[in-house]
Amino acid sequence: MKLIKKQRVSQGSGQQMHSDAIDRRTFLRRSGVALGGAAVASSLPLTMMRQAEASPEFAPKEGIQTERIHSICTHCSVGCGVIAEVQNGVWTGQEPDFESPFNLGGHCSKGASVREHGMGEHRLKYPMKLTGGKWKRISWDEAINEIGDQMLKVREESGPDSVYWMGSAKFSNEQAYLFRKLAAMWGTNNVDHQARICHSTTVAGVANTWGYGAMTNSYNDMHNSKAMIFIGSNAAEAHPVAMQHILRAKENGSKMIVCDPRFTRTAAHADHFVRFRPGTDVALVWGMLWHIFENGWEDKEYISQRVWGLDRVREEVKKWNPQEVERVTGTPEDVVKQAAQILAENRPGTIVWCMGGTQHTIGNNNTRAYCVLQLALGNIGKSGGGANIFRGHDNVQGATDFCVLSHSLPGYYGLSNGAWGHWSRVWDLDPEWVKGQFSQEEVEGDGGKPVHPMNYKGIPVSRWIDGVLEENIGQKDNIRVQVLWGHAVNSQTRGPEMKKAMEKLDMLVIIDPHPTHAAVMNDRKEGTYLLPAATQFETYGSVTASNRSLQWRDKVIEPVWESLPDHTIMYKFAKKLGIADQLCKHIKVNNDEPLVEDITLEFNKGMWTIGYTGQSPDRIKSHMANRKTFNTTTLKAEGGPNDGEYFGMPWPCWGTAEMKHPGTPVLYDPSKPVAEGGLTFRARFGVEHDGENLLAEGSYSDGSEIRDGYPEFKADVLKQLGWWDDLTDDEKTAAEGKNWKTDLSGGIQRVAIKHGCAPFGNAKARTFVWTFPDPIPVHREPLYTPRRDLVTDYPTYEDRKRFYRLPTRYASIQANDFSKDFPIIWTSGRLVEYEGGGEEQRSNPWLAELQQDMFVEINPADANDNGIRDGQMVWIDSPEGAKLKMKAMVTRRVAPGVVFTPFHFGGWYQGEDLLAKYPEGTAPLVRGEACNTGLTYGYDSVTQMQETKVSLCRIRAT
Amino acid sequence: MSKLNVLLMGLVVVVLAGCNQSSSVTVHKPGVYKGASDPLLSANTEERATALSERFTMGQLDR
Amino acid sequence: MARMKFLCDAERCIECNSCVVACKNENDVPWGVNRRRVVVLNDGVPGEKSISVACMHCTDAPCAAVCPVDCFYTTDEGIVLHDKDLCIGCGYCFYACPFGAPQYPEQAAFGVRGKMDKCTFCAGGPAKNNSDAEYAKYGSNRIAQGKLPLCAEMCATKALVAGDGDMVADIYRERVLKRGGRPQTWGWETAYGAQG
Repeated sequence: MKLIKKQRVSQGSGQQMHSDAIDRRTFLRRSGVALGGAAVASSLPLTMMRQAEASPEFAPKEGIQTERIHSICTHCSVGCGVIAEVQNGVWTGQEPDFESPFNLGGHCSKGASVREHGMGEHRLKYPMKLTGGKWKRISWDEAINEIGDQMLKVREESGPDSVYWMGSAKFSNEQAYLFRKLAAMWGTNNVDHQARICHSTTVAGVANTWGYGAMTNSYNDMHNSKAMIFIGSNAAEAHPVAMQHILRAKENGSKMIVCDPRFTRTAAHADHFVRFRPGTDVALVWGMLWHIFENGWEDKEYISQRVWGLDRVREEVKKWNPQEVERVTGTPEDVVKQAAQILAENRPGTIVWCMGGTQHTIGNNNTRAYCVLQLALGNIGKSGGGANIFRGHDNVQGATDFCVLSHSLPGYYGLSNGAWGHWSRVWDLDPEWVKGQFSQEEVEGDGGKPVHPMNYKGIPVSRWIDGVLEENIGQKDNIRVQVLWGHAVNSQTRGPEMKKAMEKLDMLVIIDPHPTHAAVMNDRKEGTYLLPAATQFETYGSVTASNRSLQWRDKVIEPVWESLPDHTIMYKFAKKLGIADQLCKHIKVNNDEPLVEDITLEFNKGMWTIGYTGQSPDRIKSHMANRKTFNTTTLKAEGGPNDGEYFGMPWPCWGTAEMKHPGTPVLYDPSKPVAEGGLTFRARFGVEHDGENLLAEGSYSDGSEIRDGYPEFKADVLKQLGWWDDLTDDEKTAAEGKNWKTDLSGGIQRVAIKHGCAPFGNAKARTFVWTFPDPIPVHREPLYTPRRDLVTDYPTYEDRKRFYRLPTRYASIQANDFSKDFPIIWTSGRLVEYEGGGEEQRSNPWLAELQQDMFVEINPADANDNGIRDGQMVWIDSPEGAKLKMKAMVTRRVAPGVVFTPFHFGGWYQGEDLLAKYPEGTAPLVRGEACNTGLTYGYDSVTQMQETKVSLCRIRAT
Repeated sequence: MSKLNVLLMGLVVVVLAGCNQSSSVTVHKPGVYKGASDPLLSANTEERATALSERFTMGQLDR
Repeated sequence: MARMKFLCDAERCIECNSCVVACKNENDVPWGVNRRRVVVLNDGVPGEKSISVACMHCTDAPCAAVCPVDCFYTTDEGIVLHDKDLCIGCGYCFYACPFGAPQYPEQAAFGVRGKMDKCTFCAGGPAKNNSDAEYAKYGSNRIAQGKLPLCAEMCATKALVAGDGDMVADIYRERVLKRGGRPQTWGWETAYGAQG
C-alpha cells in the first residue's frame, strides 16, 4: 500500500445504499450471519463447527474423470433439470442445466443445494428401532421381519384396515404406482399422501368443473399471458423458478395482480396488490365477478358455447355488491374493481392459485370460484390463459395421478367394482383374489348405507389421528399400525392430539431419508421403527411436473449409508407379507429391486383416463436427451428426433406409445386437432341435467368430424358412427363392450382421435356441481373466525356423522366464540429455503444457515398492543390448547390483526427442543416449533383438506 | 457570562464541529502485487474469451 | 479483451438465495462465511426490492489500494483476486470495500482474523488452475474452464448476470427497453466508474 493521493472524487451512491442495506428482516433471518460472518463461527455449536470445515471427501479432484448425470430437482413441481458431476461414485459438482426448457439452468436455493444429498451427514444411516426409550441399530432383515410379523398379527386381530399406508409425493411415478398397488394387495384403502393436504380441493373442484383436476397450461405458457392473477400463491418463495417465466411475461407487457392477506415476495413484483382477510376468497372472487357482470365484461360467445350453469352463478354474485364484499373481505371497492378491470382488459389472462386458496373448510368452493372467474372471462383452453395451479412437491402431480389416495385407484378410476375390475385386468389378477384380500365385513358408509370396505373411501392423511382416536368409525377397528413413508407429520394440524394418537399405536414405522419430526414428537418407548430410504438422486425413474410433463431421472449416486430405494423396500415388505408374486407378476425383480422400466410399462397399460399411456420409458428418455430442441415458450420440439412433440408429453398423451401422440400442452384448447395436442372440455357428467344440455354447442376442436358437442366414446358409439371398422381385428376383440377408459388396446382412443375427436367427449364446463354440498360456491366463515357478526349470515356446515369413515365436526365448533380470548387471525405458508416439513433442508447446512429460527410475523400495531419487541421470543396460544414458542418478527408484511408463521419447522414441541430424542447424528441443524402443533380442527366438505390457512391465536411475550 | 455558559458554548462548538464532514473521499493508488503468480493470467486468453462468450449466450439469455 | 462484470437486475431478483447457495456449493464456503448475500430494501412494504451482493471486482479496487501487504491483483478480464499466503487478515479491505465483500472465516482474541476470503468470480487464485490446492484455498476456478460464476449461471430468474460487461449491458438494456422505466444498474458506478 502506498498512500499517494490520486484524486478526489465525489462520494458514490453505493456507500449509502450499503449502510441501509442490512434491513431488519435480513438481520433477524440471518441471525447475525450477515454481519461479517466471523462473529458467528466462534459461537457455533459443535455440530455446526464440524460442518463448517471443508469436507475434502466431496471436493472435486484434479485428474479424475468426471461423469455428468442428468436428473430432476426433488423439491418443488417446476421440474428443474439438475446436472450432477460425479467422480468415482462421489457427487463432487453441480452444473446448471441450460438445456432444460423448464429452468434454463436456473435454480432456487433448494435446487442449488441438491448435491448435499450425496453427503448425507445428517441422514438416517441404518434401520433403527426404539426399545426402552433408546434407539438401537438393527439390520434390514430384522426390521422387515419384526414389522411384517406385527402387521400380520394386527391384520389377524383387527383386519387389514388397521394398518395405514401413508405414501409420498416424493416417490417417483413408478414408486407411487407400486405403492398404491401394494396397499391394494394388502387389502385396504387406508392409503393416502400429501396431495390431500395440498391440492385435494383443487383436484376435486377443477375436475368437477371441466374434467381434469390439473394445471391446464404450463409455467412456460405464461409468457403468452396478458394478465396474471395470483390468489393464495407465493410463487417467489414456493416456485421460484416459475418466476423466471412470470417476470418474462411481465416484461412482455403482462399485468400482474397478487391477492393475498400478506404482502409477499411475489406481491413485491405485482402491478396491483389486493389484500384481503384470510378465508374470504369466494367473497373476493364474486366481488370481482360482480364488476365483470355489471359492466358486461364477460365473454358471452364463449359462455354460450362452452359453459353451463352460469346463470345460477349470476344469482349468487348479485349478492356480492361492493359494500358486502368490503364488509366480508375488508377490501375496498376501488381495489377490487381495478383487479376486475385489469383482467377484463388484458386477455388472455391466467389465474394461479396454491395452498392459500385450497386449505380451507370451503376449499372446494374457492377452487371452483376461481374456475368460474376464468370461464366468465373466456380464458380457459387458450394459450396465455388457463388455470395455472402450481402444485407443491416435485412429484405431487404424479403421486396424485397414480392415486396414492384413499378414494381412488390409479388414474382416478375410483373404487367401484368396475374400477377394481379394470385394474385387476391390467395386473392380470383374479378380481376375486383381490377382493379376498380386504375385510369382508360390510360397514355403514358415509351415506348411511352398508358398503364393502373395498369400495369405501379410506381415512385421509389429514384425519389419520382420528382413525386412531375416534370411537365410532366406518371400519372394523381403529388404526393400530401407522406407516409414515416419506411423510412429514409437522405438516398436519392438531399436534397434541397427534401425539396422543402416536402413543396409542401398536407400532409406528417411519421410512424416510431422515428420522423426521414424527420420530421425536411423541413419548413412545417401544415399537417405533426408522428405515432409511434413498432419495430420488440415488435411484431413477419418471416424475411428473406441475404442467403434466413427464421427465426421467437417471441415478446420480448409489444409495448412501444403508438406505434403499423406496420400491426395493416395498418389494421387501410385499415378500414378507406374502403378496410379492401378485405385486410383481409382470415386473422383473433383481435383488429385491423391481425393474423400474417394467413398472412404467405396466402403468402405461392401464392409465387411459388421463393419458399416461403414450409416455413409454424410451420416449421419455429421448425427450430428456434432446431437451435442448424444445421451444421454451411453446414446449414444442423444433426439429430433432422429437419434432412436433411437446416436452415430457404432458398428459393426456393419448393411445399407445406407438401412436406417438405429442402430449397436450394446453388442456381444452380447441384451436389444435386432438392428434396435435388440442382438446375440448370433458363430457364427464352425462349429456344433460334437469333437461338442460351439458354438451358443447358450436365449439369443437380443430379438424373434428363431429362439429358440435358429443358424449364420451364407447364401443357402441363407434358402431353408431360407423367407425367400428376402423379398428383392427385385435382391437375389436379388446374393445367390445368397453369404453375409452377401459379398452386396453387403445383402439377406441385411436379411432376417435383419427376422426379429430376427443376420446372423453366434448361438453361444456359446469359451474353448478350438483353433487357437492354447495353446488354454487358460497362463502362460509372459517370454523375459527374473529367475525362473529358474519357467522349468522355465512355459517359453516352441519356436523357429519360419517365422512371418509369419520365423524366430522363443523357447526359444533363454530358455535363457540373463541375470538375474545384468541383475537388474532393466524395463517401459515412457505419460505424459499425450506419445503414441506423441512427435515431435508433444515439438515442441509447451505440452506439451514439462511433460516435459523422459527418465527412469527406480526404487525407493529399488534406487537405494540401486546408488548412485543422485534426479535424476542414469544408464545402463541392456540384455541385448542397448544402453546408454541418462537421469535417475533415485527413487520408490515402482515396486516394488523393477522399473524403468519412458516410451516417447515419441527424438532420442538410446545417450547421444548427435542434434540436429545433424535438418534445420534441425525438431528437437523435447525429445529423449531412446528406451527401445525397449534393449528386447529377444520376440514374441507368434499376432500377433508385441513384448514391451515385461517385460525385464531393469542400472542404474548415470554 | 458565567464560566458555565462559556464552557457550554465551548462544548457546543466542539460538538458542532463534529457535524462538518467533507463530502468527497480520497482514493489511493494500489501498490504493486507481491504475491504468487496466477497461471490463469498466462493462459490463452483469446480462446477463453470465446468460450466465456459462448457460455454467456448459452446461459444468461432468456432463450 | 472482455471485462467481466456482475449485474443484479432488481426487477427480477426475488430473494430466493440461489446465488448464495450456489456459491457455497461450488466453492465449499463454510457456515458463517458469505461471499455473496442478498439484501432487501423496504422489506414487506410496496417498493420492496432485493439485490444480490458480492465482490463487484471493481476497476480501481479500493481493497487493493489499502492493502498493506499488496496481496491483490487484477486479471486481464478485470477480476480482482488475492493471494491468501500473503494476506495477514488485517481487515483494512473490509473497511475500504463499498460492498462489504471481504469475509474473515476465523475469529480469535486480539484481532487475529484469519485470511480474508471473498468472491473470486469463480476464478480461483494464484495457484495451479483447478488443482486440489487451489480449490482448498480459493474454491472453484470456472473461468479457467470457460464457465461463468455459478451464482449467475444458476440464478432462478436470470436476475444476476455475470460476464463480459458489454454483453451484460446489452441484456439489461433490452429488458429495460421492454418494460420501460429507468435503468437501475445498482452498484455499477461505484464499482466500474461513471462510464459503467
